[in-house]
Amino acid sequence: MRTDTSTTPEPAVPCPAAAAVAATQAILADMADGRHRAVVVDSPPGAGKSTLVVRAAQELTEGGERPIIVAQTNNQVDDLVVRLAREHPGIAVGRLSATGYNPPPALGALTNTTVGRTLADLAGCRIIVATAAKWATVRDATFGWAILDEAYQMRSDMLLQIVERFERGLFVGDPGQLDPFTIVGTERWIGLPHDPTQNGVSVMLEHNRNIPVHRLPVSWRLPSSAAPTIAQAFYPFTHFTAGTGDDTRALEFSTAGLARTDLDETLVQAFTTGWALHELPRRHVPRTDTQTLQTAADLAGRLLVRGAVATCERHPDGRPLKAGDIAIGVAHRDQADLVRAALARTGIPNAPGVAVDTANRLQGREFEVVIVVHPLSGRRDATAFHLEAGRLCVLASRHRQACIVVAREGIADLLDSHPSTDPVHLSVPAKFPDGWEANQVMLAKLAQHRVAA
Amino acid sequence: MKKTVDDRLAALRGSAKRLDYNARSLAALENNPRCTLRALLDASGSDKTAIATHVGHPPSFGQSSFAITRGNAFEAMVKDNGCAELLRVLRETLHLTLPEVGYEDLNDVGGDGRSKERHERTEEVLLRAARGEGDGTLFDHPMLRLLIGGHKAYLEPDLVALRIDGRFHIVEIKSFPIIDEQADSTQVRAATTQACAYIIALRDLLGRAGIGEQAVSDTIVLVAPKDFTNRPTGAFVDARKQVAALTRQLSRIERIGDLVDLLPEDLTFDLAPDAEDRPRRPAEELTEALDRVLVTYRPDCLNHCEMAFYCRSRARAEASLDVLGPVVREQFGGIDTTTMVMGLARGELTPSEDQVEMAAALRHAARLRAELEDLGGAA
Amino acid sequence: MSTLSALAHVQAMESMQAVPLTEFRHRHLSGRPLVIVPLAMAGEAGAPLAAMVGSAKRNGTLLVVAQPRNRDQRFAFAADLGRIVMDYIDSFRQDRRGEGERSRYTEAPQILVPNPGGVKALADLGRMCRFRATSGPYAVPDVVPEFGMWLTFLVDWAEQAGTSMLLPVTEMLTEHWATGQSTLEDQNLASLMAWISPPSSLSVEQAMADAENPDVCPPAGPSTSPEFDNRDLAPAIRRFDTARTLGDPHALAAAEAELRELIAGQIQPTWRMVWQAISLLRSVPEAPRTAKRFEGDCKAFTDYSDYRDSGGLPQRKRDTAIGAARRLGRLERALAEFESDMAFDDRFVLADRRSAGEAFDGTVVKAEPGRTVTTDKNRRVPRPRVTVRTEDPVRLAADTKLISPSLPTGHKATIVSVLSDRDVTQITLEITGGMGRGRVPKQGTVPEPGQRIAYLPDPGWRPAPQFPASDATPWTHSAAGAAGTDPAVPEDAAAEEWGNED
Repeated sequence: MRTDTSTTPEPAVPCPAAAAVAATQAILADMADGRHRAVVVDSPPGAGKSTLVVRAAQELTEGGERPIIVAQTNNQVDDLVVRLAREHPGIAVGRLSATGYNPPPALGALTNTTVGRTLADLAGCRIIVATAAKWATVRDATFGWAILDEAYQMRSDMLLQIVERFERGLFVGDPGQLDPFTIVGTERWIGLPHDPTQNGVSVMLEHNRNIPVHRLPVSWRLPSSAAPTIAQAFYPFTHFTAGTGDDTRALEFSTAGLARTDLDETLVQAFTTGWALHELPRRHVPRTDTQTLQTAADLAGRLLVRGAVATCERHPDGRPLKAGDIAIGVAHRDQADLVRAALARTGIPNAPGVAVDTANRLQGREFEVVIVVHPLSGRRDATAFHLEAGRLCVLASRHRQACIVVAREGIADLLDSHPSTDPVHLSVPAKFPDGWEANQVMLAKLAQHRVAA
Repeated sequence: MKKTVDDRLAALRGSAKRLDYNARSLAALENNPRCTLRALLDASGSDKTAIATHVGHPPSFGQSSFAITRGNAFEAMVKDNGCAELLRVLRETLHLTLPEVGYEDLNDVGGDGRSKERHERTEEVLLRAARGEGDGTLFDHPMLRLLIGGHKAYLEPDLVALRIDGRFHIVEIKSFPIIDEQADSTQVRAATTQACAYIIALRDLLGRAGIGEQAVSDTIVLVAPKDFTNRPTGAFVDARKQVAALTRQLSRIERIGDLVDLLPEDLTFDLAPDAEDRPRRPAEELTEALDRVLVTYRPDCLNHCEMAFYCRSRARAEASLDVLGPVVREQFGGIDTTTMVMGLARGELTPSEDQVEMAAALRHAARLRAELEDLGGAA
Repeated sequence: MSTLSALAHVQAMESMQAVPLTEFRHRHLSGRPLVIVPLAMAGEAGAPLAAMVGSAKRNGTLLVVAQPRNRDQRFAFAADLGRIVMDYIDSFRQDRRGEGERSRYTEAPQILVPNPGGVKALADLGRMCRFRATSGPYAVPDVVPEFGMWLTFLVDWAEQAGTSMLLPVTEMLTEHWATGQSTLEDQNLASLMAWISPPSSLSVEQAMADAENPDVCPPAGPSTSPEFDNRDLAPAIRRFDTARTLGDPHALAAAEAELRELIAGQIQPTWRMVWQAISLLRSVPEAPRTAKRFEGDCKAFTDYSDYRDSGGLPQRKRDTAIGAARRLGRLERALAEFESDMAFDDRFVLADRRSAGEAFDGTVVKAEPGRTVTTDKNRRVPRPRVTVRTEDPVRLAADTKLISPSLPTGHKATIVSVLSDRDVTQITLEITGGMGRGRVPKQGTVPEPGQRIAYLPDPGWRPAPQFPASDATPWTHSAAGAAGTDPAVPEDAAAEEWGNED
């Protein structure tokens, strides 16, 4: 183990679009080159991962391949199927699914898509898409290429179940998001190159030297206000830039507001700077603290009531924000349940349309405005779970316009006095970014956007 | 300003001799940085064991002579014949290329074992080596020094090796086994945090001569018995996170003044020892002094802090939820004591505005428990 | 941890006595368990110092290694202990029922150790013994590798949730009782027993203080107290060594007797306490589903027995890629099933889930027992709906599938809607299974208004994952050209090198 991570300085990028095109060309070239069994693409948040997947699938089809696509959740599969079928109406796309699956309306309306329970149902399809779990039930079929989406979220043992279905793989994913996990507490596999609890990409790379690893250099999602902070906090050894300039994205209120000054002040801060820290009074609370969760819901409600128009490269003339453009992200499932209840309590008719979910489930999703309940808010102690860099990374990198963090005062002290007692193992490289450091970077940024409630 | 803080710290310690930080006490900094008492006792160089013993809560960190003998014998064996076994491990197990080997014993300077002299000699030898002048590759027991809060701490790594990858590496020789490439993670952690203090001290030494910190690797080499044998084997330990963490804790010590400012003027942990070093200060008075300082007790302290039994008895006396540990405590938000929890659960106490929600959850839980016990579940 | 379990600990701390956390004991407790109290020497890797072993309180055998650093004495000890343990294990390989694939022993061994450290000590011993060769240089008796393999099997199996073939008694006790101290202190058997059942003449406080005083309560191992090591053990071992060097048989016998007596003094209090804990645990009724889980233990025991009988190889040092993935899947399934079993069986555990909003208990306020729907296949099936009113803080969402311990097995329901109003929640359910095959639900399968009923989420059925064949590790999980770095039998099977033994 030689662990000194080399930091490759990035050449200054004059034009994000050109850099992104160049990266895609290089990836496709490596795929076309017959020497590589796998090609890995690391993608920071919103760097056009799905675009790449669609593009690569189309190129493979053109080359006479019949690729399969492996995603991690049914939602991801549906989204990919819809994009593929819409962008390439000439390609027959197959959606392999379990019994009891109900295709969403958008998918049902497509003419070049077939839904099937078995491969036999999809015999005429040029591209077949399914979840990893579904692919794990398929036997006795081998395809030339598989595209594995969100591959860093797929555990090594899952990869082992599907690897015999393909000869070559394009592994695409975001290494900065949450690692897969297991509820089983055992140290038995620590240090093994094939530790089944690790993500599949790392395990594959451990066993296969000289696999080309590419990186998408531009985040098309994150606004220019967010990309540098997210890059610094969560991708310290790589770099990426925002694809849009400082003036491309903007939020404006549709109505004036004075009723709830603290909420309004936070919204103004977020609208003008892209970030806001809505800080509640210092208090130790259980994670189900109503005040914190209700505040997150109220901020979303207030945003809906006042109405906002979002301007961006897709809508240069502005577009009114809808409930579905807003998400509230939390750490725990019970918090998500309680925030949903709190949204209902606001009495605002469209409030229940706001997406509320845990970091795990928000992975890969995108919204205009995201309200985050800080995982460390109100806690006495920071556990490894609450400090995990990937968790905060997911929560703080889902937005195109603005991110509002709701927290109780005291996180700075919590981090300052945090005991570092994580176990240390032989021959296991330390995982970076370090959760503590990443939290510090984020907190330093948020401190500049603090609104005391 | 600095002087006043030092004076205050000296007054806290009283007449006893100042105990300096060592690798072990530095490593302990990471365990509970929130504890004011621990920070004050460490910064003032007070004798925690003597204090805890005098107030009736002696620590129980005895070390078995078997472990000590075994540790010494193993280290000696690894270093025998100019570190022949060590070289075998570095070359065969860790696949390192060590071109030429020069062994330098820094255990004493011509028979002089004093820390200061040894440190000066170490500095001279290591700087020469860093500049590529000496022919030393393995440095046995160098004496490093670190300034912590204005006080010198001498630190003595088992071994420093140069030219592993062209950089200095700390080599830790431990007698706990590496069985099938795995070792006890608590012990590995303890060894690593100690090694981090050496890394920081060595970087400091070189840094004073204008040599960058890259010269010292933050990967340590751990040498330990293989499986159930006496044969050494080795492994790398990536210590980057621990180096960063310890660096943070060291910078916190510099802020000790903030804590001292909050203390009552007359506070002291002086044992007022007599000529035979027996404490003359009444134990009750010392206890009172300790009781005036904030502690952050965690059950985990029992594993590493000399004051832990005192703090636990204090937490018990206060009916503090700290006694039960963070996992239980987390469930009760801002509530601190069992009295408060039970009072709210039984509806005997009126919750403050902060507590309304917690009180409702507690009453529900209490109702559930009553239901269970009513049905005859309780033994 | 839920608020309810946390409250139990607070209650214990306030009342200064242990509080039950469960209604039942969820682990099988054999009528004839084998207790092993292992002691190891400080600072030495897997150097056994002594063990007390036996299947009844009155007939414990004390085995002592006079000089734990001596290799021959170590393996002589392993052989002695191995013979006792193998006799015990073999006594369960008698009664076998069923035919072919389904044939299995009706009972399985159960080894109990004082604490988790005891399991670790057996794991080390198993690792030390299982690769040893029985011929050539450093040969050991036949029983040593056999014993090593069995220990490894038991230790591996103990990692799986809900199993009972090897358990630390501290774990069994803390599963059932909450104390007013921390998890760390609960791992000290004497401290734990101080809360649950203090010696009759002592208060809990006094018993707790004694538990941490090595002169009153010697540690339950595997480490002995440093004071004992330095004050008593080290001089006694030195006397033994001297006598051996001098070849003086009288002095040697005297030194050995002294050592045995010293160690007996350290080990016997723990031995008695383990048996006391066992009889306490016997007084707790066994949970209904424990027997079914224990059948899994019997099957694993039978399979491993047969594997040994067929001359199978010792377990590898580390899992292969496919072995690791298989094991992970098994451990995850077992944990999910154990948790669900416990909540299903045990009102206390269910209440825990209720206080966390993951289950509920309430009264049926409305029922449509006659409701039917027509399926895709044009079949009319009963789909009764009921509404349950509960004061539990339910967080379950619509479409969650549920099971109920209050109704006959097989009952299944799905949440249709959840309506909360302050502290009261009304949950409407559609019953989807467990009503029999007819068009009308069988009597007693649909809850009636006024009936008290509990529901919890259905853990569901998970298919066992399918991996490539063991000898066909795919390219993603094996390095090209590297043909198995960890062979089934390691290179040092004959004898691990011992370096310069002292």
